[in-house]
Amino acid sequence: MSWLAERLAGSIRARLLLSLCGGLGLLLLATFVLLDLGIDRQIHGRLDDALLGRARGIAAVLESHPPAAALAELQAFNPGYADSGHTDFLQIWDARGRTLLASASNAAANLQPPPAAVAANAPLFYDLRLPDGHSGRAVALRLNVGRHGADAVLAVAQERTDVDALEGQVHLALVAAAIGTIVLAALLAVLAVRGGLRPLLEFGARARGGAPAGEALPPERMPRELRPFAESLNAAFRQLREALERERRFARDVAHELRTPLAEMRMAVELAQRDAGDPAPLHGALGAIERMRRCIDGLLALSRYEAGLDRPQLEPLELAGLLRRALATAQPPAARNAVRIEAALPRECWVSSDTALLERIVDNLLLNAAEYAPPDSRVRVRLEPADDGLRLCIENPAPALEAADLAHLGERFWRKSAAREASRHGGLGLALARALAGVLGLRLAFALEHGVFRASLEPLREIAALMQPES
Amino acid sequence: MRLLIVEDSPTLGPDLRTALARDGHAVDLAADGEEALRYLAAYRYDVVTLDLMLPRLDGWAVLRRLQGREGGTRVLVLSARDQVEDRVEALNLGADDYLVKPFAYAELAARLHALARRGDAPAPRLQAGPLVLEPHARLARVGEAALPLSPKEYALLEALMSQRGKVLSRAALFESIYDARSEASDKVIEVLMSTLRGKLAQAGLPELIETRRGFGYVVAG
Repeated sequence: MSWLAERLAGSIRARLLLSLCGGLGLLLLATFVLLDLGIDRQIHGRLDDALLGRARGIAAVLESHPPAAALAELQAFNPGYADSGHTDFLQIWDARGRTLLASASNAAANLQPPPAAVAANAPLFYDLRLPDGHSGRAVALRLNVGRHGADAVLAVAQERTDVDALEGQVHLALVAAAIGTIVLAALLAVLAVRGGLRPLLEFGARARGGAPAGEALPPERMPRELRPFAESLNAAFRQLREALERERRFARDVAHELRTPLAEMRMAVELAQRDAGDPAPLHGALGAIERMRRCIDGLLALSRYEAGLDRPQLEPLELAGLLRRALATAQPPAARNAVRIEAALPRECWVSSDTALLERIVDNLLLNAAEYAPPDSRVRVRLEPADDGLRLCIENPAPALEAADLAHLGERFWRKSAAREASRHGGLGLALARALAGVLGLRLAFALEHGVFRASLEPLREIAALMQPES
Repeated sequence: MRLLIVEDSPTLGPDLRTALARDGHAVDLAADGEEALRYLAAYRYDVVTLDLMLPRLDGWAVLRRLQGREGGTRVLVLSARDQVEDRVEALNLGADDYLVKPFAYAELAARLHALARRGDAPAPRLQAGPLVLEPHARLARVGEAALPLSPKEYALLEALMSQRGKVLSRAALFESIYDARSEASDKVIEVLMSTLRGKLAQAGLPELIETRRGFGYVVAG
């Protein structure tokens, strides 16, 4: 039921169809029930009228003739009363319930007497089982018979098999007509709803298409009811296009303003390096420029992803290989800090992700661990199964870190201590990693247990088609 | 080699001129697009390095003026703009190469030499109907529109396009685009092929890559 309620709440088409089909179905059902009752009443009324007319005629004969003569006359007049095997029956009882007279068609059996007392001038109709075993209809009348006008009850009965068959045929025809009409009405409702909602669905499809150049939803081709929505959406699309264009221009301007000075610096340093024969300070300057370039590239990439100007390019990538390459990159800074990196990785592991983004996330996490781990400590890297994929865990001892610091780790340019501001860290690595993880639909969580900091990235989704069967 | 540097940065331009001159090249420096066109009208250059965001006349306008010009001058765009659309536009306007700032001087020098060596030969590009691949810029486009491919999808398409008419097995394709060895190589190529074909179909090229069952894939020659 909750599934149905959910479907109904979630779809105008489902609600319209249910109310139309349900309403029409109930209406048609009620109409056919009333029709059936009316037809039944007509059929029974005609049968009862015929029976009553015949009973009154028989009563007149019985009241004017001696019973035996009257019966002989009746059987002569209507041979149906004369022999068994016919469909008409009659019987007369005296006031004490004794049979005074019975038609020969009754054979040896008696007619079923009326179920209640019969009042004078008030015929009593009732259904009964006839002496021949068939079902029948009877009417009972009070009358006076014989010379002394003794009080008696006359019952005239008739087989009702034909009437029942007619009634059955009428029922069948009505039920078939009801089902057919309801099915046709449902079909009509489906077609009407589909046709009626088509402009709305087309509107939805166009609106889903986003904000292409030009007018996405021409209001003049929309039904009158949808025009306000089309106009509002067009205005929203226009604003979105303008905002995207502004973002694009801004990203270009920022790229130009930040990268051009870097290019100038790099060229100047390279030129000086050639003049001075590659001295170490200039080498350091090139390193600083390269770090700044990476930082700017990361920020620009992030702003473009967050503004929706770029989308991640998912492709099959071998995660174990990517991690081994990242470990090799992190090795020199780790070695400088006397930190050892230990990794427990499978031989091969294929996931679907954006190589450049994932590389940047992993590089940032590893570099952070290698540079913040205390000397002579170990950074541990492992891949483990998670609920819906794989989890990458990178752990390093972090004696200076406190639980309250964890909340700040995703913030841009946050550093644990002002004393470190002159260090190589820009306070951007983890923030960038977390933001890029968000772009990839991954969760990057930080935890601190017993002085060990753990960054976990999940779910890295394995490609089902590439899963190796376990041997 | 005779070079023209079109660069408005008052430090980068002169530094580039100095570095290239020291490497033995004849170098002129233009600080805006109009000055660049004057130099180009007066002298014949082997290669022009062209910034895009220039005062007075920007880099795109310079490229437009150079379109259809005789003389075999190669153009290397040197810009801070790194977006695909910028590269596509510059290449569509006749640029031969595109390098994003900041760059390593050694890379710039190597690209300039490669362009000069090419001489009058047409730019190396791979084409199949409306699909064009620019290997030096790692760009794929259908007509004038960029085809958004992931790096591996691009590499797969380039591998097939560079050997048009030749059936390449999945193992061969895997080896050409991944540096790892893998037991899953066949399936990786299948997954990549499926997404690549989806993107090609969206661009109106559903039949570009044919499957030769039991042998591999081919772009018909």
